[in-house]
Amino acid sequence: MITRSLRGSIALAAILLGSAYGLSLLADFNWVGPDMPDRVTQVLIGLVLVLFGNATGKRERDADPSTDGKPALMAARRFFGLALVLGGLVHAGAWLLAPLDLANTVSMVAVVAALVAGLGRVAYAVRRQQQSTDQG
Amino acid sequence: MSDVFKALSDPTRREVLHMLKSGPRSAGELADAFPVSRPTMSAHFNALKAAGLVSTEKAGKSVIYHLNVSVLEEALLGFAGAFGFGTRPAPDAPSERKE
Repeated sequence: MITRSLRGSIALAAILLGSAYGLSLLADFNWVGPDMPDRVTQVLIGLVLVLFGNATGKRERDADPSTDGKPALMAARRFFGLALVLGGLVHAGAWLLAPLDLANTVSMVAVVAALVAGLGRVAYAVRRQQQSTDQG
Repeated sequence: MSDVFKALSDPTRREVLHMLKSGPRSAGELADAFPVSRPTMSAHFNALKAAGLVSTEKAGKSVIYHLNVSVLEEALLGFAGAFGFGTRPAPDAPSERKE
């Protein structure tokens, strides 16, 4: 059974692959600049990151809060989502505006920093939760 | 999305969301923090639930409310609070926000 979120993810992947392939064909015919396929694909990747980050801190509408994420973990997930959104925006903005070399570096640093900060916060929340479970 | 804007346009509902940032609270706890009647608070809770900004958990006879916002909704909450959309809360409404 394919869930709605999985269908959305597959559709996003198809859009990314299709646009990358289409743009590389256009670049082969010199209808767009040689750096255009890279830029558009990377901007799309940044926007996908924003999309996923936005939804990271939110439960499904019918989810049961008592089983799906303790409050501290949800706060960490919200922070992780915010980090991903900011990282994705910087990634997309860099590939939209900056020279290629700089865009590559800036986008990598932004996404890695977002992942490190977000995962670090989640790991801290999980550890705190385990400690409180052990003590209680 | 219009449900979200509608829910965030009211200062009492925004205050409820701010209170829930510090952790889940029961309907009674939340209602006691505001100088409005229980039915009015119930309507506020329903608006928040309809917008998907809170999720609920039954604990015996009481209902526990959990914050359930996306990054965009949290940013909208911040903007709405910063620019004071909707009417101002009553002067005796609680202003302290526990972290």
